[in-house]
Amino acid sequence: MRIRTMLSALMGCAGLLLVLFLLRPVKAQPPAVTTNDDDEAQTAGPKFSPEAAGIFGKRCTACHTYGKGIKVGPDLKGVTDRRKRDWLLKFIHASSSVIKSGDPTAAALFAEFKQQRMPDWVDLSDKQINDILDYISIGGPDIKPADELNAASATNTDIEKGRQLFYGEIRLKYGAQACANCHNVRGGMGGNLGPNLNDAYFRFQDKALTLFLRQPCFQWDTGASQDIYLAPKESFAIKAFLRNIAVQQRNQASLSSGGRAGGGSQ
Amino acid sequence: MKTDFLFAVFPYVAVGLLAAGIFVRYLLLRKQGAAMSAEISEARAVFATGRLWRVSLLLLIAGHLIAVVLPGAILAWNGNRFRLYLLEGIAFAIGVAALGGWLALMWQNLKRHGGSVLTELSDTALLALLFVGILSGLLLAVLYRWGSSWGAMILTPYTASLLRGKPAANFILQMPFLVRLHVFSLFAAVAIVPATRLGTAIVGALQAILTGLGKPISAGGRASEAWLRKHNPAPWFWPEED
Repeated sequence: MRIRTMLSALMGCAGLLLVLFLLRPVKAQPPAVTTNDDDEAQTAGPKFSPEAAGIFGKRCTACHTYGKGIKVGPDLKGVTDRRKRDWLLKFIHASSSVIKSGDPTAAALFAEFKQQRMPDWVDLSDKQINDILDYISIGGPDIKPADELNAASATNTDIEKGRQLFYGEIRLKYGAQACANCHNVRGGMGGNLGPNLNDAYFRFQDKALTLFLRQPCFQWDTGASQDIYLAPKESFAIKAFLRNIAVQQRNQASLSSGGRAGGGSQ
Repeated sequence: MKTDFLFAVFPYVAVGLLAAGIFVRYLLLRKQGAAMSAEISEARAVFATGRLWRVSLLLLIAGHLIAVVLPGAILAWNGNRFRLYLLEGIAFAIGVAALGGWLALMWQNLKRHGGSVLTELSDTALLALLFVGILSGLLLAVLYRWGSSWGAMILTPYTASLLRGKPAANFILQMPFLVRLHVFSLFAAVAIVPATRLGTAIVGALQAILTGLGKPISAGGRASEAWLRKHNPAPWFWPEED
């Protein structure tokens, strides 16, 4: 009879847990460790927006260049210094009505550029246009995303931050799990489900590793999730940490092979 | 393709077999109280002898269920290295205890005189599958460490995909053989349960639950019938009939 009681209790617990499972939120709560908040910190002044960069690439570059002269319309480098923000907002939203209103700047541009009128981007919100203007003001397409910087330029702080991200001591901004859950590097106690990453930096080289870190390293989601995996600064810090490990490993290998060669010659 | 079948289709086949098998056995056994009681006590002797085995198996089941239901909590707990080592150490110790319990159980079973060949065969197959599950679990804890973390990241979404009816077998297909063996042994064990004495015990538990549920329902029914009799509105509607 005891087994029956035990099984009843087990089945009851399993049912309860199933109900809990079905009622739980879809996304797991992020781990309660320090957040990596300094990435893309809220600072005063214009800031980079990936969405704005995307819109700029899709809609503006067909007729404008950034620092490469006139195409169909004017070069947009420095446009935020040449024109007032309010005027740009109005003009981008509805250039035709600004021209029709007799605005002298708009009329002069209309005449200068062979009466080619810019499309009215009525579908863009003020915030989106402001973000695009911010993007232009801080360097536009000349801006290099943080993750594209070569890991050789990393400081000790970057490397330490990379180590903390790798081992999950700092939580990854977009909820991805720490590399050490599956990977290990020399001198660490990471997992070993995935490959050891001691020489990952030299195997992939900087650029390929940057591209690799833009995707989840394990292709679980065949549903092509659009979520961002790592923030660019996180990616750079992890790359810097892996480079540091690879350099240490290489130095040690060359030292030991030098030592062996020296020992052999004696 | 075959592996795809094992982890995308077979889990449903296993659960289907379990449900259908238990239902059939329930229909066959529900009126044979004495036979069922005898078989349940045999099931206890075969599957639940030894406190070490019972406790460690229950803890293993509970641990796996917690990992499936609360993966975020497991990952949060493992965020601290010390806590990760603690959890992994305890889980490994429970696994070793379960293996020891299983060996003790097998020793008892070797001395026992069995029933029908078919039941003995299916019982042995289930015990063998439990052994495969425990041993593969221990081996993967040693060879692929921090299973509590990557399990919560990989096996939980796989289980969730099964529950949603959209099996994402690629979660498992990219795993090492031991992980696939560990998962498969669970489904195979589930499929075989109705053919074993444990199936009878489940029928007994099911009957106990149904009887337990039936009691308040029938009590409620009796109470409402009494209330209706007491507050019967018929004389109020048709007083001439009195």
